[in-house]
Amino acid sequence: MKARMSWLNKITEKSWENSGEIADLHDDLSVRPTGKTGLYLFLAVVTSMFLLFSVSHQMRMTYGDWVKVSEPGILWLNTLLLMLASIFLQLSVNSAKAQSLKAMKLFLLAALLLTTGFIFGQFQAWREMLAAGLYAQNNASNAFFYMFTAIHAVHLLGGMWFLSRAGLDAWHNAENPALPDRLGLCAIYWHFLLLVWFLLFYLLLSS
Amino acid sequence: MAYVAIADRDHEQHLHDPQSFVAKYIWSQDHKVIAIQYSLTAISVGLVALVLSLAMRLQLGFPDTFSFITPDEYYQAITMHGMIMVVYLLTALLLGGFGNYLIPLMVGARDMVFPYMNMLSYWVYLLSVIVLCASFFIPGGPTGAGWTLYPPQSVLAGTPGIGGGIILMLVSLVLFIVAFTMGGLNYVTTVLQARCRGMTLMRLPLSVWGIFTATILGLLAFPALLVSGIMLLLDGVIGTSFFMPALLSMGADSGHDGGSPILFQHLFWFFGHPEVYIVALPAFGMVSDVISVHARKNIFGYRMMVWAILAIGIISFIVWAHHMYVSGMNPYFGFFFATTTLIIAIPTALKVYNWVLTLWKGDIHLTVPMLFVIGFIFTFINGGITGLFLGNVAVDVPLSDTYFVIGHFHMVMGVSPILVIYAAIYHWYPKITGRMLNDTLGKVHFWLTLFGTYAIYLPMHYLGILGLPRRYYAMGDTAFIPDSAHLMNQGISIAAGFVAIAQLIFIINMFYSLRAGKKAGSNPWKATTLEWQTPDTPAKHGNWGHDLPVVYRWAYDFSVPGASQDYIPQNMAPEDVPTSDASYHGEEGQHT
Repeated sequence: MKARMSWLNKITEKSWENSGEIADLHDDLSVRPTGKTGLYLFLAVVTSMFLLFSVSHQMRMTYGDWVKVSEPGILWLNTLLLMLASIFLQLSVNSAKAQSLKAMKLFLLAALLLTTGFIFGQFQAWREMLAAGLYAQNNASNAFFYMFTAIHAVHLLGGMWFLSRAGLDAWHNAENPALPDRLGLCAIYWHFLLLVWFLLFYLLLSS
Repeated sequence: MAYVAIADRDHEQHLHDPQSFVAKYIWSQDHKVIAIQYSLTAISVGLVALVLSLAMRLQLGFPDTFSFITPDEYYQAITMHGMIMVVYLLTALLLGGFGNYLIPLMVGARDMVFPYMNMLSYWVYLLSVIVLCASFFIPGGPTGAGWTLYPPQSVLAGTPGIGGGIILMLVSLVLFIVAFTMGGLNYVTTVLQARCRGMTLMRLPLSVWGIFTATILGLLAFPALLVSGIMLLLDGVIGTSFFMPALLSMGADSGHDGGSPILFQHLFWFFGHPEVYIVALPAFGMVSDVISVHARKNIFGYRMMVWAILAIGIISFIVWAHHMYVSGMNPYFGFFFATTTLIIAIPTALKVYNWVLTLWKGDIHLTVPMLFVIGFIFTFINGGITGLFLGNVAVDVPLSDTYFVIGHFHMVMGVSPILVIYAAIYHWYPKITGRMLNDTLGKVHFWLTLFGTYAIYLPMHYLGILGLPRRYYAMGDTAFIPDSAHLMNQGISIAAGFVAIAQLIFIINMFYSLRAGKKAGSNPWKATTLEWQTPDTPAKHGNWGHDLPVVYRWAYDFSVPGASQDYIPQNMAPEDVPTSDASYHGEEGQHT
């Protein structure tokens, strides 16, 4: 409520009446790291995209030709891997903040491996679907499965690029003061993609 | 870790100063160079779209005369003209061009907050343009599906460009959205976090408010185009059935089953309508600033103008289905969208009133930018009022898919934003190049463009009421179309030729004035906003020399009582304001 009031105060300022004053810009927003603001905005864009995919899925489901497909069981294991990756990445951030560099590296490596495992697991799910003759052309529910998993994986791979770069820094320049923040941004992104995966997995299971 | 605002740690920042030609002008991370790269690319591809429109007009005005325009080519011209103008010209020029140039200068920043990503944004945009234009050179040519790319026809045999044109179009759009997202994150974060000391949100010039809000709309609306583009691509390339229903194509089963073309329309217009305001809001903002400077008067109702921009931005997300009244929707659904469409007219009309009230009793200078802005106000009112016709379901149904619609949207989102873009170029060219554009050439350009475009688009409303259908290659001997309609079509085509030639005057002026234009000085229009207060013109890398500016007032202190000059720059401290009246300082805060 306080934040809302302050936002309201900002856009109701009668700026023509207060010439001369230097208004205080040291509010919460202007002193936030720019990377974090940029990331949150990007998450808003990605949220918009996945919500629109979800709405399309829900609308398409209502048509007569929809076929219910049972998803490969490996998706449950993959979900567990991604949850663990998210947890280990957060532990890595916490260790970095606590200056415990060895633990930071260990948790970071675990997060990278678990995420790689998730992506390979998704690939395996594709192979199982294809082996069972469940092609994207057969019906829209199959097509949504391939599209959802692929687009989610592409976003995760984008995150892996940044996390790997942070990882290289962790090994070669672990004292870098910017490292905890960079890992922190990756962790936010990982938690976000975990939530997105929960949504997509739910949609796939329910259709 | 405790953070300090960017404006307060200026001297800790190390601004990378490019030395080589390549780093300065090609792989540049400077927002001003990126802005010029964006603008020149957008204008170049816009000229391609202009030539395509001339080809269409030749065919429509003089059917059976030009054998080089076949029906297929006509549809390809329609499609590429529409998509280029809306996305690759207007969006890119207003946000990538003006957004890039103006935001850091107007908010008092040294650059965008993510300069490397800003550079990437331009190069991915250029790639998207190259991919799009590549479709002119492949067998089968570009897609002729119409700029809305509606399935099923956009990916079915019989539509021009089915071989590769539609794929290149969709890939190009995906690339454009990636580029826009990288730029957009920059614009919004820069406005939020890189403002100089004293620059509160309500001291921002309205141009920044317009660009800022339009960028947020773009960031949230372009994903809808991305989603529909990806799904359409999959339908076309690998044969999925997201949008494609079961149908026979050329007598054979198409292999698709059960898809929903209406779903595509919803997604497309969920992007498409906010897109109108992605173009309009930056234009609204720039009109407000130009009008205030050239009428030597503070903008009327600044807070209302800001709130109207925000209100339009929000409401623009709940009006999209007014583009789909003839798609067979539930009448209550149509009623809802007609209502929201009429509601969005309220903040829009408020802005028009405020522009007119800013002119009221102002010290109006009929400079070229001011002429274009006044031309814009007339045109926007014209286009806006015909929008009220089309926003109502019962009136829209008979007018749908007629020339009335073409007249409406060209007035409101073709000519109107283009007039503002011209106003903005004539207004800011002196800051960008250090030279004034030639005044006489500018005035000739204005009058020919204004009357010429009216000669094109006003008659189209009559043709539309007559029932003339749009998207037809030739009208033939249709019984209800009288000879006078054919004559009018010829007249429109001739006017289009004149308008196209008039644009050459502008291009000649741009190049001529670059060398021979009058030296502008740092603030030729005696404007208050920060971009006119830079130590160098054109502003150098880093914009502000040694110290960032400090802002003491809002952006519209014109003709302040007691002050001896009719403008007070935003960064002028109260004690430095030259006065003719000793009471000025004592009356601080009362002078409006």
